[in-house]
Amino acid sequence: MEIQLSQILFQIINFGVVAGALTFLMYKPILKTLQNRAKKIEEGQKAAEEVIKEKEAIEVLKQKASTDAKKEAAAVMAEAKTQVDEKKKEMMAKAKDEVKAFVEEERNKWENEKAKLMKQMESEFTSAVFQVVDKVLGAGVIDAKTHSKLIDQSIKEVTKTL
Amino acid sequence: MKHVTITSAIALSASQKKSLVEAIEKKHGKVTVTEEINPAVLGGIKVNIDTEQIDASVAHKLIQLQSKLS
Repeated sequence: MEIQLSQILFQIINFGVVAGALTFLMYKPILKTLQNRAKKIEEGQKAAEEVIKEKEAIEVLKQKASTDAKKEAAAVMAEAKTQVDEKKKEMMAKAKDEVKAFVEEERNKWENEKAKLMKQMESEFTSAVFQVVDKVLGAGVIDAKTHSKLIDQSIKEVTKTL
Repeated sequence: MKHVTITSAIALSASQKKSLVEAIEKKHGKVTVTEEINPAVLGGIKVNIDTEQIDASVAHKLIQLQSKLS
């Protein structure tokens, strides 16, 4: 077998051309594609991490909002309860005052009525007593002996008073 | 000397007047006495010793009764 230099040279050139063509046409696009893919993956990971962070932040905010809302609701409830209690107390006090005033008014009415009746009865009684006394004394029913007894009693009273 | 006025519906008997005047003089010393008859006292007597008055008349008792009742 004879080695032909020209053949070898041709093969070398041929290999170089193929290698150059492959480098230019295949290696660089594939490398670029791989770099793009790696970049996209990295971006995707970053985006995912950001989403996770955002989600966590949202969760924290959500919990904070929930806690704040609960606190606010509790405060509102406490305030409402206080107001209701105050209103209740106020109404109770008012009702008590009204009842007391009503009772007092009725009692006064009753007392007045009673006093009026008593006065009327006393007046009638006094009038009756005076009428009787007037008739007894005016008609000369009391004789001199009775008058004398009355004077004796009066003298005793005057003597005691002295 | 103090002056005493005794008011009554009818005249006092001598003994009544005497006992009354004795009681008054025991307290106030010698007094001059005037008697008045006034049916308005109704019964008993009313004694005025100068400005002091002791009312033991039936009329006064009735007035007291009236003021107590009214």
